[in-house]
Amino acid sequence: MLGRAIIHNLVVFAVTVLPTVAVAQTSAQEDPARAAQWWAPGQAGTLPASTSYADDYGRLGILNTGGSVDTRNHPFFTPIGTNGRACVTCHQPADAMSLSVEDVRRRWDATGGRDPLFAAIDGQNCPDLPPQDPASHSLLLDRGLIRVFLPWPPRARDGSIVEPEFTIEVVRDPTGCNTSAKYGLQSPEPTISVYRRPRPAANLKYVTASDFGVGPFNIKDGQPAARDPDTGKFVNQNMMADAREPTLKTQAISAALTHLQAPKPPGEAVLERIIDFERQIYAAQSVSLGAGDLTEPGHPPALGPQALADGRTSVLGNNITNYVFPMGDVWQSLPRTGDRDSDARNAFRESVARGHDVFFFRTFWIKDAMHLNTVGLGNPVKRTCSTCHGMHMTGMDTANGWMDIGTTNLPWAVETPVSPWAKQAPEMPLFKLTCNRAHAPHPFLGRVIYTQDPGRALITGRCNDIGTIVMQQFRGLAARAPYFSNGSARTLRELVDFYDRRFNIQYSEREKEDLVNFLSTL
Amino acid sequence: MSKRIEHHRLIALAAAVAWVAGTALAETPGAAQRNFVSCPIVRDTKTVPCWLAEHDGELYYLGIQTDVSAEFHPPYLGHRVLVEGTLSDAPRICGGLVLDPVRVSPLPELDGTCNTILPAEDRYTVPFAPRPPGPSGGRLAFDPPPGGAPPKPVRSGPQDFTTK
Repeated sequence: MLGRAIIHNLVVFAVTVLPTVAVAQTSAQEDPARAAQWWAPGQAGTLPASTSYADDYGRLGILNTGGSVDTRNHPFFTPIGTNGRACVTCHQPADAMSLSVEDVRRRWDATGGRDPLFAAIDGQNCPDLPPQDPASHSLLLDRGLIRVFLPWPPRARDGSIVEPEFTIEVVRDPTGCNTSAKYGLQSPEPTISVYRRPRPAANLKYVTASDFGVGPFNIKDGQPAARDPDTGKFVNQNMMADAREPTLKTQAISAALTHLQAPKPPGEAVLERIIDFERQIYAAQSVSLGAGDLTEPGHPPALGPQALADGRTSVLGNNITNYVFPMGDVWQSLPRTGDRDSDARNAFRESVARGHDVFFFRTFWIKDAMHLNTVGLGNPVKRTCSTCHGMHMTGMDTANGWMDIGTTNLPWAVETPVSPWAKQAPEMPLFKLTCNRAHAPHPFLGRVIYTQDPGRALITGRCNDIGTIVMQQFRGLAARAPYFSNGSARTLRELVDFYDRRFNIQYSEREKEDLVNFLSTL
Repeated sequence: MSKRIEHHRLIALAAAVAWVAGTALAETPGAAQRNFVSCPIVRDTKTVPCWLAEHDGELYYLGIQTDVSAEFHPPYLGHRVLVEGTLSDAPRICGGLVLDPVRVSPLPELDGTCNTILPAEDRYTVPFAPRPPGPSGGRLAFDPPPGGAPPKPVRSGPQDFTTK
């Protein structure tokens, strides 16, 4: 009873006094149970069929449609490599099967940096840095980033060299890894290190669905689509930031060999159990500090993990028949009764409904976005958020979803200001890519492009793919800050602000708050 | 023998002259043909944006924003565009003389001077837009509106193209 009263007071406080983000941060700090939510590799226990975890905006719901899972010896939860990590290390149930930077920091504090999460291979900025020194793990501790190391020039899946359309230089190397004699671009095995956020291993029936817009050729650039090596079927390439792995199986093998440092690929039985588990997990916000229970009878149809389990895949939602996130009209206009708690909740729910409409209907000029403006829509195109984030229930792309909106490419990427008065040094590497004369220049950035992460171009070697990143799903956002592949948006508000700045949307303050509130309930 | 060769030469020469003249005649653009390179211009409206280009002091209408299924794919700001079109008798749209049919080909080189976005004005409207600028009504641009004309047949099989 007392707890409920506290929650209600918090709700009132959130809606009437403070901006949403400030409330979220306060509530997170006050919740001592958060530290106990970490699932350690090898930890015996039961992941219930349905459970929830506290997050900055309320509670995240996890639904396991396969029923409860005994994690003892389950390969998703068990170290199957040599560094003590398991899949669960970077795909925590409490973090929407991803990894929040808050939990990274808690884990550092709890273990003095000895948790397998901080393994030298990719939990450090570079493996040759001193372990247990926070500075060696600054990108993981500050932004939740894991090192991804890729050969240069790129290799095709058969191991053959891909002839790149551009040259690459290291302009800035704050981690030291790209200029390292052992791990860098000039090392005996030339390698490029970029730093990316782990993606949610949940709601994967949507992420891997390949029945809409997927065929022999990528509809964005006309390149041959990737195939499932086992079945030969074309896949949507929507799983990883650079789309380098075509299936859950190849991703699991690759992750085991790199992140887990397994000496050999896992066997078929192990892979099958991992994939079966991943396919039955759904994650979405289930309780909102402001809006209350998101799964109560009559709730907006898009909300809660059960809605994801029940939803249709391969459905284009950028239309008023399917919707990306069907919200109905139950929260459009709610009564005021004079009861403070009830009125505050209803006000927040109306804000969420307005935020949905901002996402779905608010037009702006989308300009210079590679693989969006180039696919026949023209540059610019007057559209809405749901033009790109069009997949029903997730907000991903229904087809191959790599685009460049400037999250890693300059001039739009978030950069630390450089000046004699600057107190902070740049954290991210910076590369200069020069497109060869034999190929057409990048249509929006020309021949010379500066980027923190070349993205898909590190796989294809194509100039037009520089800085293109596969867009992520929108679910469970409240539980897994920061956002974007390079963790450059620390909060949902910073995420909204990035878009506002990038596309000169000119959102009003109320539109921004509504949009944040909406995103926090997904 | 030499006379016969000369006769053949004359015939060949006449044929060549006739071919050249014929080709030149065929390649001369008709009065209604407009081929030019210029900056594209996008004009906002209350519905969807329309695309224009200016040439020799005249504004031409190229098409509207729809979606990827449409026959007309708008050009890019930031690039000049090759416009090849035929002047139509239709009334001006968005202030521009209508080119129909029209083909637009963005040039690969960047041109930062091509950056004109005109604001919406009440006098310019696009009431015939098949889909709004945000989410669609559930159909793509190539679908005819209820009771509208049937879609054009889709060409398939081998086709011949002439390049000039």
